[in-house]
Amino acid sequence: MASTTETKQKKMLILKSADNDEFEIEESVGVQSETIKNLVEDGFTFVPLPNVYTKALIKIIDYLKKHANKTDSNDEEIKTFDKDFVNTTFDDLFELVSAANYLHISCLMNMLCQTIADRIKDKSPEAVRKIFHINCDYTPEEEAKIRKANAQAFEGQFDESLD
Amino acid sequence: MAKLLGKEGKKLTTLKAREMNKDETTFARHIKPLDNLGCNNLILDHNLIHLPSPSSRVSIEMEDTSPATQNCSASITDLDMDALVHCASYLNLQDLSNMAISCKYLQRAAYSDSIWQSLFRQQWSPLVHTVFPHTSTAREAYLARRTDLLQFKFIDPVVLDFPTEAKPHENLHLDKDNIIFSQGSSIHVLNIENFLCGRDPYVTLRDHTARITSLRLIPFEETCLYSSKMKKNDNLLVTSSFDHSIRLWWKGHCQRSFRGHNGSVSTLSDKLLGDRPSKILASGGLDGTVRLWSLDSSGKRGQHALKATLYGHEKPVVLMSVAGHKTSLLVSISRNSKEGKRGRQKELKLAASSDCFHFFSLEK
Repeated sequence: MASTTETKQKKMLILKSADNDEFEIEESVGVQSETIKNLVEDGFTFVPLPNVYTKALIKIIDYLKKHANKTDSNDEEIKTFDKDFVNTTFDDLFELVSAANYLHISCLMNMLCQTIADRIKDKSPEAVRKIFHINCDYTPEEEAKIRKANAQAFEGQFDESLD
Repeated sequence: MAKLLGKEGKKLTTLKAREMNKDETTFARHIKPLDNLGCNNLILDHNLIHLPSPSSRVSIEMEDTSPATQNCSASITDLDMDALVHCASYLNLQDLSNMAISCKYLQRAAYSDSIWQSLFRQQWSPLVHTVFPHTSTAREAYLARRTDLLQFKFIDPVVLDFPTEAKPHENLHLDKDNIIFSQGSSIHVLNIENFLCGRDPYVTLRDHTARITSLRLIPFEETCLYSSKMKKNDNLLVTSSFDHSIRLWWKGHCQRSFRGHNGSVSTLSDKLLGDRPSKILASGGLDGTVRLWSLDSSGKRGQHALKATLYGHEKPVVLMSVAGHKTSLLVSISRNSKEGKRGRQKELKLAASSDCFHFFSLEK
């Protein structure tokens, strides 16, 4: 319980990252994450997040703070923030996806997955491999088979560029 | 995050520095003066270091304990399958196929049942059975149905028997889950989903007191009545009747009623007039007039909604149509087969007043 001198102070939470860094945030900011919300409802104010590393957590806290202050007037500002937020490397994106998935922040999850999906859109399989640095693990026979299976009714030009 | 590499004798120590906001006071405990670390050589790792701005502090701590941050090269194949499926759910058929060809792990995501079930639901009516045979995956079922349709094998027309009254049916429309038709002065809305669930599927709208002559569905988005509170695909229902009135319906109720025709309203234009979002509805009457109504007139009784009355036909107007290429043109035809063409050459906002209408008669 908060002491009498601090009754006006906002309720705070401490989040602990996988690399043992602690961050203090307002409860109202934190509960945008379903995972944190459930813990808060169970009375926790100290939330260890063994699957979220500091690097991702700092970004996610930024995101939550921005979105906690959502009003009608700063819609444009948040859109710009979101655009910058996803404009990052794949390493960061994948780390953020894992973190957002673990924390159950659905709006962030949608945004990140849409960003990744946008990089797959209209690309040939070869381009997808190059863009994501994927090693093809099919044998030539397997690849020929799956290509044939997917060829049905799919005619069209794919983008070979890596943008 | 910035990294400082300090060489201390033989041991290489990695330090990390964080730029942080003033309010993150929990970091205060980590702050150590740089010279306490006893480094002989401080090397800046690339240009990663962020110089602290006046409003922020930098905390530095030893990082020997956490090897995890050094391994930061994540790949798409390290993503959780759920997350990958979530990504794939934004893709179309073609992209899913390309994704599947790229490697085995992505193939698992691209072939997952949840994606193909949702494609199935998006593509086809809820009347189509989404229970797949045990032998096939959702993807196979989807592709099999797609192939059938491309070959015009309409294998499963849905036949449903609805009991209706014995009067003649008029003005049939299908609006999403609803079958809408009129019988005499009543409008019947038959909800297919309710029918399938065993609930009463009928809603009957009885505000008209005489036979309904015309029933039109107009996408809400094209009208000036559209507001963000409404669902995007909703339609506005407009009816005309022998009871001299025109009624506008949405949310299952009559919301507006336009009166002004000196007699029965025989027909309505198939679309609204003017540029989107449009607000002018045209109606034709047994009195031979074409009347233009403003949809945004306030009040349930539609006072002052009548914006113009166009005279030209001597006999009842039976059909009207707004031009597809130019929504400011309206053509009407009356029972004596003389054709009148009415054109509006000015902007809609001007055209809302009757002074700005130009009347062209093609009658000889």
